[in-house]
Amino acid sequence: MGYSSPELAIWLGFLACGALMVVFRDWRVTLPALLAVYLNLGLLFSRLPFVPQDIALGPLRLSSFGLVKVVTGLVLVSILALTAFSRRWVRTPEGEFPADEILAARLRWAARRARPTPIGFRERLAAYLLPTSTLAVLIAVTYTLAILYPLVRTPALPASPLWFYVDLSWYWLALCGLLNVLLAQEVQEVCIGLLLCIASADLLYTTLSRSVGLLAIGLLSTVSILLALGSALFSILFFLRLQRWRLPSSEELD
Amino acid sequence: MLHLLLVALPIAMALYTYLLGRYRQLALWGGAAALLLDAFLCSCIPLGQPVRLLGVVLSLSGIDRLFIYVLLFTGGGVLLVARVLHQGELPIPIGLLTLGLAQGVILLDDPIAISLLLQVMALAVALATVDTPHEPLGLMPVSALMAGLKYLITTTLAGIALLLGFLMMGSFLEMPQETFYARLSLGLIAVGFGLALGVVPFHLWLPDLARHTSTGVIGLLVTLVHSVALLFLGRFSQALPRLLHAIPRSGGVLMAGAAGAALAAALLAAAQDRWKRLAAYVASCDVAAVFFAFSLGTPSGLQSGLFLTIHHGVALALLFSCVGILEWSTGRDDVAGLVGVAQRMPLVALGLVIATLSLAGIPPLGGFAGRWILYQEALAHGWGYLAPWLAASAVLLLAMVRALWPALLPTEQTVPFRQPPWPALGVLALLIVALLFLGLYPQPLLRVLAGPPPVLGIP
Repeated sequence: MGYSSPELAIWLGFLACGALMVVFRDWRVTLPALLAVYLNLGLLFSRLPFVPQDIALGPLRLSSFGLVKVVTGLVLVSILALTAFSRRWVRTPEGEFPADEILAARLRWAARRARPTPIGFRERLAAYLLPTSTLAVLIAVTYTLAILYPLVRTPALPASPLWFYVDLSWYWLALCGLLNVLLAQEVQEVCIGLLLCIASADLLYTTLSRSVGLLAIGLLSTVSILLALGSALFSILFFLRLQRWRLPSSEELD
Repeated sequence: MLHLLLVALPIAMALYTYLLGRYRQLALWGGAAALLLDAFLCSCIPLGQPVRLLGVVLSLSGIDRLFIYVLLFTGGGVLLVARVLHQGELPIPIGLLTLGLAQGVILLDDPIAISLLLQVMALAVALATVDTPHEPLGLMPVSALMAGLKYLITTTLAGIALLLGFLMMGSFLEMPQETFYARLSLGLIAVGFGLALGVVPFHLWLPDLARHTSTGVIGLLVTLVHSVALLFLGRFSQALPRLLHAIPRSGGVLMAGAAGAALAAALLAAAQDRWKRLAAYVASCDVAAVFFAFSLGTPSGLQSGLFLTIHHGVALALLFSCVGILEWSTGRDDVAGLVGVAQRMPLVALGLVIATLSLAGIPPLGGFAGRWILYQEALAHGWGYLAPWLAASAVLLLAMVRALWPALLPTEQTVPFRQPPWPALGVLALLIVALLFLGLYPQPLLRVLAGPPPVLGIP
């Protein structure tokens, strides 16, 4: 296994992007990380021996198949970024609508959490402790699974360190995706988690099928784009609905 | 070329009707023309002559053609009812899009491409779940949005599970000595279909979605998406014995799981007091019956499963159309809202009775004709396999009697009421006749279903 191979660099890229998406919640961090995942995916696809490398970018040889992945990522990130950004312009409707008891309690809880309070360095560190420790466990689980249950490294494939990195990458993306879905507090975070799971399945499919099926590539991209569109719709609808609830005053909170 | 046209025509018409959404009549006639033209195209395609297009193989068998006609009939009925009941602008475009993709699923033979197409269909329907014209978008209840989101997540996870399951199946066929792949494949495929079709215990999204979305959209989901998914399951079931052979006792586990799921769904249905949720649990119970039939892995099991799949589409199209009309007419979908319906809307009451009895598997309706073979096969495996089915039918029947009882009570004059539009009643009449025909004279259909079964491209 080479320690300075391009595959290692790609795997480290996946690791860094996944870590950013698990630890941070701000869309300004998670969406560029998602785009970087698709860039990495495009690069990794270009390294697969059965994918024709038909594009030359200086010393770098890439495949048009990998480029499709990058373009898909760009479309997805554009949809999600536009949704997150457009919330500024969504108009607050006239009038207020009372929430029922449970919703009001939830809102009070959310408002208490969102209340700007001075946070010290120690508290800020503590807020990141859980995601960071989860991340460490996730990396350990990924390595264990890739060693114990290698779905790509089979006797049917020629021996190469590339397959180990593919196993690591798809396990990592799938686990990061599931963790994102489980820890999500917003529709957009759920969508990012699901997109990571799809990217993981995409990587596994391409490697195991050992061919480039045009229909399957198109359909995988369509599924991802439809998912992003659907979550954008739900995200805006949730936002509109939440805007119409009366938020409790600071006296009510205390 | 005809194969491609069969898929592309409804998709193109979906775009046309979406753009013309404001002109209601034009969209309606456009949709009707697309369905008729599609039926004609389907009749022109020669059977059993595969063609290669864009790197994939497309072919049409006798059973496939029958399913396309059934989808056009049930899908068309659901779309017409949704349109005349003013259930939003999206049911017709999304319905046509789904229909085009469903025909693609039927024509294709690659399980991976089919899994992805099914996911695209389900995600397209997800976009229509929030199309409720009587409720401003910004004021939709959070529970409705949560139901839609739950469906979006479930359908994505189901698609991923199916994709991975078929990939693992490919690995198992390459290395038959590695039973780990067979176990993983069977587990992922069972979970994938369970999630996609709302089988207990993977059902949590279905009743919530049925409760909060229009009957047009949920009708499209169960008549088009679920029917095609069940046909896909039937085609896969022919490769199932290879997996079952590699894993000891897995066949028994699958059958017991399906029977348990049906009984659980029937018990849950008995506890409902809203028709939409009740219909969702009944749908889940019926899907479990189809699962059981396909998991038998025998030719008669396949025949029974395919017959039940056709029945599933017709009966649920009728049930959801009746509930939709009831909701439109009285403004409520609870059981108590049925008071006096037998006198005010006899056809709707008759539709509810026929659909529910047929879904409970009571003779002489279509549900019994399909389940009779299933009961015989279950008995051949032992009383332990038959008993849950009889119990599920009995519980479902009791649930239906409890839910339908208010319909026979005298009319409450204070309850506001609107006379349903005649095209919707016409669709109900056609669906009732179809269900009676399936029950009283199933032989022609069974003959077609006994023909060469449609297969998947699994080596």
